[in-house]
Amino acid sequence: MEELIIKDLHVSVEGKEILKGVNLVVHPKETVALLGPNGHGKSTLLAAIMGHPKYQVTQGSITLDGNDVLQMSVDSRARAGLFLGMQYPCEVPGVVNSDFLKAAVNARRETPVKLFEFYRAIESASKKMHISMDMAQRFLNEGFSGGEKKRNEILQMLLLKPDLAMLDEIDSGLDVDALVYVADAIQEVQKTTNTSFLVISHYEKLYKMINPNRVAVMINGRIAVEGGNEIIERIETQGYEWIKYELGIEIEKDDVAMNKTSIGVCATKEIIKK
Amino acid sequence: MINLFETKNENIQILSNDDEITFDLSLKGEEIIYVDWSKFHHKKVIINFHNAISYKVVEINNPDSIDVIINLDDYTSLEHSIASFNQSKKNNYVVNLQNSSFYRGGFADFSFGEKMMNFVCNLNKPYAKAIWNLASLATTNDNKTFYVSFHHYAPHTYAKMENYGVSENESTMNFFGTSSIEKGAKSSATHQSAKIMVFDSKCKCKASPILCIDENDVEASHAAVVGQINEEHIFYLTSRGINEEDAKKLITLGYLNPILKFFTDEEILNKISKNIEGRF
Repeated sequence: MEELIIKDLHVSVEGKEILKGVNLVVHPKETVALLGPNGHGKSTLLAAIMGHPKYQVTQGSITLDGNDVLQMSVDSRARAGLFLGMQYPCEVPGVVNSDFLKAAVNARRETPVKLFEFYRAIESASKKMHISMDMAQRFLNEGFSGGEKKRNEILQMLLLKPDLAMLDEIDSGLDVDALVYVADAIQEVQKTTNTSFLVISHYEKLYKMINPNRVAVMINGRIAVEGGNEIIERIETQGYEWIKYELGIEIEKDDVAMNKTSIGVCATKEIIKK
Repeated sequence: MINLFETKNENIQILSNDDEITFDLSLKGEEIIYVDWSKFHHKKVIINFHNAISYKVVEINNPDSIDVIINLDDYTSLEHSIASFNQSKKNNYVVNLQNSSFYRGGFADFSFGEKMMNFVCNLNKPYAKAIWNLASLATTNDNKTFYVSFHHYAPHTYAKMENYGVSENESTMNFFGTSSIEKGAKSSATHQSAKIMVFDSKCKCKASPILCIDENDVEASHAAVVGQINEEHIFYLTSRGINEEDAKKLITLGYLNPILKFFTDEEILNKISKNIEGRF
């Protein structure tokens, strides 16, 4: 990959505009940390880059090495080198993990992967993620704990070797040891390949381990601040309020409307009234 | 291996007239019994299983407009696997279970055209047990309706049915499941679930579970789902580079594959796999 360029990206979800003009560039071999308060569009950006059907791009462009990403189907985006490690990986009952992984690996190859080669690849990735090999015979993510699901996302990243790995709160739900496995895996990919990373996390801990080159802060659906690692430390200690004072950006908060029903009111009746 | 319609096995007695044929099986050990309906000309067949042993029957293709009655003696068990690839409009099966007899039925339905199946299992005596699994695929303008009923007439009986279907194009698929626990059938348990995965907007599908309970101290449950393939599942699979068609195939295979465990014969297994994969 050479470059992922996002220009003036506007994205709506169910008619509500979440991203309001995002500009961001990710260079090869670069690790970009994406921070920002909850509900300001970080996950939306990643999902829109991957092409989730719920997220509608209403304006702007995304290009990968000059190719128009928005014109590509989800699977061709993946084969072009994009990978999304999801915040909430879904459970797919009936689909056996190893069948799924094999199909994903084969989607990138002219000739199907040889059984032995595939087995070795899974074995090696499972070892790194401390996932038992039995997992390969289980249904995809079904009955996995939150931490196992996240480790399974990184396992897939190791197998699929993307050019740009986007990781959405990969550290949430991980225990201390699992966080180290994930960070080690990311570090190894950083050292040995040209893979770039776009990483959302709320915690300094993961960022300290994977050492981003650049930090972007998303506020109100735009990248409000870009800079170096010092921003992470500042957010960790001061929160996001300083952005308001220094840059004069008012941080929008979702107004949580008071629920019409409260104790003593029959909720069913209220619904029927509507 | 025994071919039921051609056998000269001395432990199988055959009694027949123009309309009806009765088989009395008193085998000594476990042997797989094959039934190929294409060579069958009667209107009604009764198969009695004796001797309190375990039988295995494999049926290839369904009989068309033939009544099949299966009777299991006390303590006798039957593993009944049916694979259908032909066209057969009407099938009637009645299974009668006695004391502690056990019936396990697995039906892989890949037939085409019109189909109306009526499967009735009577749990007549205490401790009779029955398990039923159906996997059916309807494509083009297939029209398939399955009535599956379990009637508990004695205490301590157990039944469980799982009907799974996939509907594509302009096909119609209906599941009607009935579980009834009659007065006196205390401490019985009956469970049923039906799931139909719908692929296209012109499919017509219905799952209707019915429980009739006339006794206390029993266990009964039902579940019915008719729905489209989950968009999130497709997104997850395609986000890994798998194209949409293959993603749908993986999910459908996962949906119908559990029926494979009812079959051991390589040839039938291959035929089922081909029928599932051939649809894509």
